[in-house]
Amino acid sequence: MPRVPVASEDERKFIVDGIQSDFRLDGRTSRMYRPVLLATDVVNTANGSCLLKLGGTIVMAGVTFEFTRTSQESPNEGRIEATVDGSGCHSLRIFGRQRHLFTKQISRSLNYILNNPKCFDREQLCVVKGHHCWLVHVDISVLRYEGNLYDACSFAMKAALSETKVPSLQVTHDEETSEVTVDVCDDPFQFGLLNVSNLPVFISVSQVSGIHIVDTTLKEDSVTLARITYGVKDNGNIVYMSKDGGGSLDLLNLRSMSKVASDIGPQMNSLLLDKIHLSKAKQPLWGHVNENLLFDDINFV
Amino acid sequence: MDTSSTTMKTSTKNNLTSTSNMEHVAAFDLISVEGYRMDGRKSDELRQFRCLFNTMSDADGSCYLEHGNCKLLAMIYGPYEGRSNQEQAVITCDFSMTQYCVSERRLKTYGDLKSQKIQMSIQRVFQQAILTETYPKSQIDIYLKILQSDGNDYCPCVNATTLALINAGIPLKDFVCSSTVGNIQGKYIVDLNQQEEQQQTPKLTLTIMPQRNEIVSLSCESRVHAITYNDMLDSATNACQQLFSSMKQAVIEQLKTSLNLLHDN
Repeated sequence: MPRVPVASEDERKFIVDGIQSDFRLDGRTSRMYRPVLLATDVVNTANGSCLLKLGGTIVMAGVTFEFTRTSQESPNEGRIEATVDGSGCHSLRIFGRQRHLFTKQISRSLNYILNNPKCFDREQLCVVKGHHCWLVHVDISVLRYEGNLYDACSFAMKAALSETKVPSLQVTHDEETSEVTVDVCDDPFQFGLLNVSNLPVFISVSQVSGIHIVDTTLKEDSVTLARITYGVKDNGNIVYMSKDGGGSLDLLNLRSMSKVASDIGPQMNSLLLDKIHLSKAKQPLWGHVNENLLFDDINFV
Repeated sequence: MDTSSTTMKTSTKNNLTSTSNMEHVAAFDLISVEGYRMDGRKSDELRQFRCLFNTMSDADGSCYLEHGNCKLLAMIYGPYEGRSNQEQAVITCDFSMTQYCVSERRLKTYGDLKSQKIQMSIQRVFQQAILTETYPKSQIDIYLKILQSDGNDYCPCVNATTLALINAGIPLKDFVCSSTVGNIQGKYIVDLNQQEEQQQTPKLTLTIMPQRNEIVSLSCESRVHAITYNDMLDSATNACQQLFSSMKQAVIEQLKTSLNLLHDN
């Protein structure tokens, strides 16, 4: 967890009192997320990209494809890896090695759900079985941090992957020499899409004086004792869980926190899916029309 | 079969050795017979320049700039009390990119040689432009983030930093505008994009203060004839003046909207 600005004793009490009366600093209840704003296909150089605002946290995700050989252990699977990059983000408030450790922690969690065959089907990244496959890079850059980077990164990753255009390929197999040649199609309007319907989103549930809240802001982080990040699928199943923060939890709390996560997970999944559809409908049918500036409010849905 | 392959080889070799012919062909593609460039611009026309202020609310001043295909964010933090005890403000610059900002994925986003070079030059340019003696014992941080790159990163970085500093309300001697000019096929083309930058043609980068008519930095890393050099400098100055007028317009428009907001309240 990044170092949080130290709130004074009175301010901490104010925040905790607000949470206890189910009315947090920005007027939310304990089970509410900050507004999610989304714009997809924002960068021309990436195959798929997404700019996501979760309240004051702003992240940008870009998906790029690389052509590689399949590995020996899994000849019919492609490879995918996520990185989280916090460079040039002043609001993270941590620098150097500590920042690297923090972002590495998030990318490890993201990689875990991407490499779980129940969540993401890596066979769709295979080009020629046993020969060639795609190596997909999901790069997430943090532009602004105001709490709950885990959830923002997973939302951005799902949104970016769902609108990624997979370059279409022509595979020719020579029977005599048994050589396989792969050519990239020149037509930019021929592309495939990835199936990310099973990909879970992260729901972070925090415990503040016995009450479970989701989507903590930077100020609320200063009173949070413990936090569990759950990876929740669209049917409410939990596939990933990791505890964060110094406080301890008993088993009863753990159960009710899982209940909160599996309640909110499907809601957030469907909300994200709606936003992705809206954003896709907003895009022009062909080409890139840069009518609006990237950070303009009109761009977001 | 064998003979045909050898003739092929010799012909390719000939093509490679006669570089003058190759250069002509390469340069011919860049400017059409009618005088238009690859992206439809005239030789003295800039790329589309648009910007948006106050994009990051926690920064003291911020600016999102789109210059052609280049998209970047500039954020200013400060002036705040720094560690140094100098009689003038210390300026630091932090330059980073995204991995996907260029078509070939970058492995390093921060701290490589290229970004260190840009950091140094931005720091030096703005040490001259900011009235640093107004803020003794303080520090001003410039954060730059390239979201999408279009060839030259230095010029849009300088322009975006100027706008962000104005947004932060930090006193400057003047606007700082930066532009490039190239010499292709006997023509001086301003504001090169990525395709034009990749050509092996003379290129000149000029940073000026347009109202004071002062050159802040000037770099030319290729061999140019003295006569062409003067002409290149002239067209680069013109480009910077054009850039200045659009930057000024953006600042005034931003000021107008914020004043209107004040009146309404």
